[in-house]
Amino acid sequence: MLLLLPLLWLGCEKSWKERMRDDSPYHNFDLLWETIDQKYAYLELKDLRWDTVYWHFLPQIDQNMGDEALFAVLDSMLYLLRDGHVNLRSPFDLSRNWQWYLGYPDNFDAELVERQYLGADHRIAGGMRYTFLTDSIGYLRYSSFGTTIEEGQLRAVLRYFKNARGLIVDIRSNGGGSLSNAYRLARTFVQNTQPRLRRLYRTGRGANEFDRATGLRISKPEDPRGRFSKPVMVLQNRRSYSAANTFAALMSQQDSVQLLGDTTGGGGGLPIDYELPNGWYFRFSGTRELMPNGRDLELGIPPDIPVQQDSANSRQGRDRLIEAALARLR
Amino acid sequence: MPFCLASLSFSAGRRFTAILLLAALLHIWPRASLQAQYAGWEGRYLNFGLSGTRLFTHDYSLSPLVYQGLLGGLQLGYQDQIGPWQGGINITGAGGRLHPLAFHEQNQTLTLAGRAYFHFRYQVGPSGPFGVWAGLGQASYWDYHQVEAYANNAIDYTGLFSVGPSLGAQWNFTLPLDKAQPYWGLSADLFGGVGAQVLRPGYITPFIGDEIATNEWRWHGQQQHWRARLSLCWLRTNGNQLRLSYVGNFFWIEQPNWVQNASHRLALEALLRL
Repeated sequence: MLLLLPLLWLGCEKSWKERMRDDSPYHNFDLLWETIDQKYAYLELKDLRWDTVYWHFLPQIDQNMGDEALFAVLDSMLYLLRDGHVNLRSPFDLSRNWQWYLGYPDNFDAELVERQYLGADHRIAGGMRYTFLTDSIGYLRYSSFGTTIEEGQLRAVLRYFKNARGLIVDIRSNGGGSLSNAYRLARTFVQNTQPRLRRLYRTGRGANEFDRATGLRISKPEDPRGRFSKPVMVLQNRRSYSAANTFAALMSQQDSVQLLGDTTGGGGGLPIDYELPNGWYFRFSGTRELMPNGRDLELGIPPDIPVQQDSANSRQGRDRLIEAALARLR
Repeated sequence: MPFCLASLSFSAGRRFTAILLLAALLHIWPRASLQAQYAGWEGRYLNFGLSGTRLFTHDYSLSPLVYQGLLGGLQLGYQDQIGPWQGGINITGAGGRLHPLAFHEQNQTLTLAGRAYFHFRYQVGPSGPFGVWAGLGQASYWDYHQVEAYANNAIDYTGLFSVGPSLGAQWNFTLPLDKAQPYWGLSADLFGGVGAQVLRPGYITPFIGDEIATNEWRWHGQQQHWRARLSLCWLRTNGNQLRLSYVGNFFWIEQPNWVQNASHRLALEALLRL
């Protein structure tokens, strides 16, 4: 019997492999729907009845449909999740729902900021651009948390702003990146209150199966040279997303910090990558993150001081958010 | 999705191979008894080997798709057979790249696999050319995958440390044309895990708070672990052995993210008598 085991094994394996090679439109549709059903973090928060979604889109699947047609159906299905961390990537297109910022005013003009405020001689350290806007008010622009902040660079920036009376940290149109960078920068501004977040992990197939909330607590650097203790204004817009959204959530818990601008775009969940049998990739939010007051980061972080840029300001070469922040810090 | 015997479908070629194998075994059976007093297995051995493994894994932490690939490996071991007692440990380290079964051209995945198998058995069957041993086995498996195309969930792993019964069988024979030594032998081994310590990622992320998410004891039913080995052994007159071994492994671990893993390993081993 022992001698026949390998043969039995090979026979079983063959039929199993044949089933797993299935890359038909139905199999792709089923796997995508099922993964979202079993692993997506926000079905309940967004009040989505995912079973109904399945029966709505299933009739649109056809065994002989082409890639473009299949992509269009899957794209429409994922669009309902209203999540910037949800994408389907094929060789010819990327499905997305970017209404979290397209449906709102931009409140930011990169060229205007560079020409009118940063100037030609501003400093650059890693992804940070910084300068003094007045004798005593500093301005720090950080456009992507995907660019690493090294401790040495952060120290150099803090040394530069040593005598500043206040600082403007501009994370408008910062679409996120690495959370480590967000934590590192946020630490610099921690005073007496340690900002906290709770991350919830899905633990099973049910839409509400979350467990083991993991606490995140940011403590201030032990070395005083790594801290900035003067007043800070954080400029944010709808395109402040994902790690930038998390940064705003941490900063909002500091007494010396005020958020100014528009509500951030959200993107509170950790994006998880997966793939389909036809070779397309997709990603989705796999975790939830909550503020101490229970607010879900997916909903965005509202500003303490709502300010909108308008076209008249732009024409005059003025950034209304920077001007408002300057007025409060003076 | 455990392997289903009902879905067996042998091709004509495989049926022919099976018949040939059975015929060969029947042919050498009578000659085996001639070697009734041969004791070529006795002794203490160090074991070195090279192996190639074809690995299939269906791991819901990694992907909804089945991954497959080839791993190259080195193995090292010790074994002894003294009187009715038999024991040994075999350690294999292997590495290679897997890719989804459904498409080959992308998402190459670095895979490192470690396998250690320990057994300790007592002879319960007849003495002579054919013997059967029964005892305990312990199998420690560690699989690590790193998916190039992923970010937050690029790392995936499985640790499985099983304990269960181990059965062994040995059989001496000479080939029809052999008039004297060298002798040949078949050695087989079957292990089934009754319980296991399982290390797995969480349902969503590889780690929770920088720690391994699932680290718990599972009984058979919440996990399954099977290992089967068959070796063709050339028993040299100087006491050393050369072996060509096939090792089949299968394990399955239940929720939250179930994983099903099957592998075929072919190894060429040298056993040096101490």
